[in-house]
Amino acid sequence: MTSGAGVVLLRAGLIIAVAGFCWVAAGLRPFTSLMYAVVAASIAGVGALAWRNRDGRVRPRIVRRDAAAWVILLGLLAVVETEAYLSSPRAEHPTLSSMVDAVMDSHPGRTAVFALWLLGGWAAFAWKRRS
Amino acid sequence: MSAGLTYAAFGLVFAALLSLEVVRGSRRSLTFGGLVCWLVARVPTLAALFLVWAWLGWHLFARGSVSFLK
Repeated sequence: MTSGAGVVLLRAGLIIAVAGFCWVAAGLRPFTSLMYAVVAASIAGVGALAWRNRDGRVRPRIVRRDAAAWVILLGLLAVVETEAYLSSPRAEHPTLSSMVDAVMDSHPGRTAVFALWLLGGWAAFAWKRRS
Repeated sequence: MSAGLTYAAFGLVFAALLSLEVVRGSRRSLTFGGLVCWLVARVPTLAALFLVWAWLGWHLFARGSVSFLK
């Protein structure tokens, strides 16, 4: 078996393990010690990976004009979310969180949201990017 | 705003965000990932974003997202 195939198998195994972890985590009930421990361990795990990969963090050069478009759109998102949050009833003024609630009504939905949250944290903080 | 208008507003903003990501990606310009990369390259913004991410996970899963509901 070549080293390339070994790396592929290792990555596949890791993905399956993380998916299994997300499935199990999504099945736990909120407000329980086990769920607190799982979420805390997930946060600590991402934090540990981020700390390990802190050296050589690349800071890309950006143009203010390019960043402005993102700031404006994210600001608009915040305005729509705030307007909805401050209004009631929730059925007529859905927020992002109430929409996520609908997805999280099922176990597969909660698994997907948990996996997205974990993946987002890893991608943002722990992923070691090449310069 | 009725529910339909709210969903439409969210949809428009997300469509604009997605379009910007696609255009920026094709032009090798500043994508959302690039913006995040820039933000987390500095310790203060890294710490702030990490805390926001951790808080989001805590409220969605450990506390149940019921806490978001009015």
